[in-house]
Amino acid sequence: MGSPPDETHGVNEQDFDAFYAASVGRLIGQLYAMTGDLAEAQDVVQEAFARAWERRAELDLGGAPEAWVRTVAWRLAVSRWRRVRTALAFARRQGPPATVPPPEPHHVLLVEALRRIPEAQRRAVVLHHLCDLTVEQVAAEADCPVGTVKAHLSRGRTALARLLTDTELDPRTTTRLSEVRHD
Amino acid sequence: MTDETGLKEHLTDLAASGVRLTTPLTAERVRARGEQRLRRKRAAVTGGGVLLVAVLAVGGLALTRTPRASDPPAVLPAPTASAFVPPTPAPGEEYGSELGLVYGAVAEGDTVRVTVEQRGTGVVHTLILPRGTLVEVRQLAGGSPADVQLGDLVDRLAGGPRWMFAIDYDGEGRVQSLREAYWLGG
Repeated sequence: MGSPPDETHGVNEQDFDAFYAASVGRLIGQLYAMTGDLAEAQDVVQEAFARAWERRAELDLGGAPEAWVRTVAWRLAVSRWRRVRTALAFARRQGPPATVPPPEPHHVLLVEALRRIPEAQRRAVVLHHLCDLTVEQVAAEADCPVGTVKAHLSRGRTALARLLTDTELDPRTTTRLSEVRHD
Repeated sequence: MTDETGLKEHLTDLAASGVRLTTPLTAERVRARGEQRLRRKRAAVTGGGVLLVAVLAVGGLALTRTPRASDPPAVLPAPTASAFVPPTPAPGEEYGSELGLVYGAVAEGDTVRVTVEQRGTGVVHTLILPRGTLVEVRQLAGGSPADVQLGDLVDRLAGGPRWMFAIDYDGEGRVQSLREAYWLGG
């Protein structure tokens, strides 16, 4: 989506709707893992799709539109966090936010652990392990060197393993899954 | 590097739960939102941008503490430098945003004057904005996201501090839009 708008190209309603229907749920799930906040994930993903439609003349469904939406949603989430971080204590004093169904206990554990690792590590872990991107693809999406991604993945996984120790998600007690190698 | 933590399955399970627990807007509504953004940008361009007049910026308590007539200050107070500086967009960002309580709205001809109490700093300042300034609302519109004009919200915002907004400033310090920070309650 780097080229200037061109009214003769772009995406029509039907194609956009199909793209939205096929990917919105998946992206909300991914942003949920990245942000640890389901309502926030839904908001930022929908906002990112709205921006994609706003720039439909530049949108190329044959390219990587899902990665573009995910990147925009992530940036929105991060900027929202930075804006409201100091206001969250105020919000808690004012009463509960909009009702969201309670997550499962083991999801709470995982979300809490994810929230406690740095944003960059969390994003790399989710892109690699949930979105199935290669290290090189993660580097491209996060706009950072491959070596940095590897470091983020290694540190992120180590930190998560430590944070989940002695919980029902303790990697020492849960079934080991397929190994992912990228060294 | 090796993943022996079961991380992929845990993350997949978490993401799937998120999908189950949400009901995304219809594509039609998302497109409508995109159209709103497009219209707003076009209006901003053709209108030369929404005028920002930061009339006065004072510290929060300074407005309410009136000196008693029998108790004049020992020294003449020095003029207070404005504590309000419009936020500037970060590199690559369209707008810089301020989070604050918006209240005390008064319609004045084609404009609306509102008071803003900035979150975090407590700085209070005044904005005079065109009645047609677009405001993204949710709770104020009964729970559904909508764009309304500031002039239509004067009655709702006329009272004391209650509604929190993100106020978007462009690179020249002009207010481009207000967004109800519904996630903070209200």
